Amino acid sequence: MNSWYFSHLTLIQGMLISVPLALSVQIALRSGVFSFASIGFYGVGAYGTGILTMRGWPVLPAMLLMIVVSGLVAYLMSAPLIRLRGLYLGMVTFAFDLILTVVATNGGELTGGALGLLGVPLGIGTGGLLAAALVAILAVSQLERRAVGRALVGIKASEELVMSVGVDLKSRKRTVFAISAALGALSGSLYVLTFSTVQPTSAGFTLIITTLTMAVIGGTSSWIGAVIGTVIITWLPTLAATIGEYQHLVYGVVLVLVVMYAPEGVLGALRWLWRRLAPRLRPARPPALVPSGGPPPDRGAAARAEPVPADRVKG
Amino acid sequence: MSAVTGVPSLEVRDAAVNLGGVKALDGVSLTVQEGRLYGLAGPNGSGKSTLLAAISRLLDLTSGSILVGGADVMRRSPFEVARMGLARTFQTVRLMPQFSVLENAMLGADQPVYGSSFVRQWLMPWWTRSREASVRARAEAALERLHLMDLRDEPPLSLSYGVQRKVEIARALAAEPRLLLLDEPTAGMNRAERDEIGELLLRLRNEGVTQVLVEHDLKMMVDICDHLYVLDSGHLIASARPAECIREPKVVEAYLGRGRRAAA
Ligand SMILES: Nc1ncnc2c1ncn2[C@@H]1O[C@H](COP(=O)(O)OP(=O)(O)OP(=O)(O)O)[C@@H](O)[C@H]1O
Ligand SMILES: [Mg+2]
Repeated sequence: MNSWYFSHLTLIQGMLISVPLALSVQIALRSGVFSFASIGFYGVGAYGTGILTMRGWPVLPAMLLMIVVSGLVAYLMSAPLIRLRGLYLGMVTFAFDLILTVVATNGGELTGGALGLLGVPLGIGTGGLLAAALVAILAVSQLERRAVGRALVGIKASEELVMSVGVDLKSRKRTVFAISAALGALSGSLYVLTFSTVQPTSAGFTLIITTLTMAVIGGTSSWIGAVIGTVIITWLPTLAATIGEYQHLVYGVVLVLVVMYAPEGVLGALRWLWRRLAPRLRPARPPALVPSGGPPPDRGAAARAEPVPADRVKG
Repeated sequence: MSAVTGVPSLEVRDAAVNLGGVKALDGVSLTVQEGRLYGLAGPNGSGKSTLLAAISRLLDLTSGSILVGGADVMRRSPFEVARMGLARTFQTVRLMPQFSVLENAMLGADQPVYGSSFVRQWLMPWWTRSREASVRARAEAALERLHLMDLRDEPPLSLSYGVQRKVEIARALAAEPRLLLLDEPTAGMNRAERDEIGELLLRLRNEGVTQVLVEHDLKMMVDICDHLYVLDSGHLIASARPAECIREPKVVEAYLGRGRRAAA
């Protein structure tokens, strides 16, 4: 066990570092905010914390500063961004990530150019990574409960519904955007403090694909999905040694297949299984009484036309 | 929205809405007094849902203004008018499929009970515990009124369309609104269920809830409404006590003249 732990330490650390990042994408997707901006803030966190600790800052203040600054910057940035719908927001935040890699490459001595930062003092142990991952999980899981959870799920069902029950939709979306960025920055900080180096490409296209795969493959409906996805994507390459080379191709294909055939991800599949099995484990109960209602009367196209942009509950 | 001051609960002044070249509303003015049950009738496409969307601020007027409780709301967001005590149901039910019937109803009570502080709701579970209990109590009371307590743990999409509409109404009631807008609440229901909803709306009226009811069932409107407004092609063509209103030639023509839908 002990020797297994040490020979797999890098993977274990990588997995713990990825948890906040996968959560950052999951929480955005779950709230109907299709954003990759947290990957960019992963870079901000990694570079920022690296630069500060190399200049003698203590680890914790450096990390906290980068997390808070990322959250605030994201909150300010989000004002124009959240007006963008779906794919457009995705594309803009994607561009934001790529621009940041260019900035990092051309940042001169501060960012170390194409080579990036080298020799950042190691500042965190596996215990610290675990604690950080747990804090992230705790924070995100609280976003799924009670009033906050209902409102965020509601956003995805129908934005009009959520507004009509008194939720300040814009401010909710902006807050989610900020939380997502802060989680990204946390993950980046953990990375640089663990591996003592970061390159411009660290927060580039590859990371976007990997993280998106983690969030989507597990299922975006809950933090559990993000954790499942992180575990799978971390350990998959070691299980199938041959895919190493084609890793990202495989991720791409898996991503497409999941989105097409199992949009609820692994978590959704598990839930589905549970629903099938649970009745057999529970004592049988009578079928629910459904008062008769029948189908809605067909009133033609006019019946379906409601004078507001359609974002109806999907079946 | 006080009867003492005589300020109407709702006032629509010369409202116009253009939707993609169509004048969905054109010069509509109407007043809704507190504690009354108003009917809003009209053939398909006459602008009823458009008017409700404008009142709940989900849709901007092209011109005109809307006052809720005497205050001009044209610069307010939908969530702000909701916080003024306005709740509504939608013509196409808007339920969250991943949540149970009870949780869907709870959404209606969340804002009034929890208030708007996000951070408190998010990071103070000990604070939210008691709120959650009162949200649940409100939602259960609303489900009780619609006889839905047996179904509270069901996922809403497993239910018939008529029952889904009841969940939609329960969510609105859980907010304990002062002004309630209902867009075809009984579509897809059978006669008995309609009567049940009619009785419920009357009881709400007697409790002082001001209501605007959009319905195609004219008989129901005549039976329960205090006053009827009729729209046709975006124009207000009648405003009268229900029994008289449906006999007005303009109204009869709007409903029968173009052979769209027989007045029940
Ligand atoms: N999004 C939209 N874009 C363009 N026109 C629209 C839109 N929504 C509604 N309309 C048009 O606006 C007019 C009013 O529609 P509205 O839905 O308010 O009618 P309604 O009285 O509620 O009808 P119904 O009884 O069918 O619900 C109709 O002519 C409709 O076709
Ligand atoms: Mg309508």
